[in-house]
Amino acid sequence: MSELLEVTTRTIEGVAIVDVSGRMDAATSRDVEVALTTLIDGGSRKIVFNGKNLTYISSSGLRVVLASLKRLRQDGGEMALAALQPAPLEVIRMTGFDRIFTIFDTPELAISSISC
Amino acid sequence: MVNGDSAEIVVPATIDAIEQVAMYLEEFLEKTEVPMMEATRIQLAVEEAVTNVVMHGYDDSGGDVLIRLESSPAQIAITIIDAGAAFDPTTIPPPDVTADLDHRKIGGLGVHLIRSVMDEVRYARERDQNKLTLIKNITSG
Repeated sequence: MSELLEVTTRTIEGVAIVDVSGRMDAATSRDVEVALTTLIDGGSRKIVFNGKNLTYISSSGLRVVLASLKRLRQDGGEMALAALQPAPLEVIRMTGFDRIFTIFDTPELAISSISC
Repeated sequence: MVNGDSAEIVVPATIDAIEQVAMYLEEFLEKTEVPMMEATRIQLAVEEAVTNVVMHGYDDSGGDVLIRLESSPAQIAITIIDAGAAFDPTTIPPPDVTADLDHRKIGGLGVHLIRSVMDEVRYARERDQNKLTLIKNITSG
């Protein structure tokens, strides 16, 4: 795992939370991809991507979250983004990903929305 | 801001070199006192450009990529040079960023981001090398 990125997972009210800290770039996004794929393969269908400590995302990171969302929606699942910092949020908006993902101010709001 | 500073680094065109470039660039941008949000945008453009070289530039035998950084009071210029296959990102059509999930393509997003965050993007093919120049104007304050 890269020193520039940390990814941990936990579950609250049946929703898997993926906490991502640091940089999601072409080198580090693989770690997030592994975490998300493991969750989905393990049966998780509701996922919150917590970007509270995510400082940076590039198109490589976008590719990972988009692929996971496609898999989830094919199976009736959902993934929401939460607590994005200004720089990642700008990238999400520049690429129109804010039209595809639902974005919440906090992980708690995301959990309560998609756990219903 | 430091005037007329410049630096360059040569790395192998591999995914693992992306972090090396990021750390080198971060150090340079901190020294030149570029505001953090602008520094992040420059980081993004350089990563996308170097990633394109890594993914598409060379065949299996690999190669190097040079990143040259230059700062002046008014702007940061980054030049990325590789000897891989000719690739002019300025000719890539913009992606449809309004497409829904089923029709969303990830290809082309990197070039779109480069164009979105930089003030000028220039490409030249010189002596069998790709030379991509990214310019970011810096407004102080």
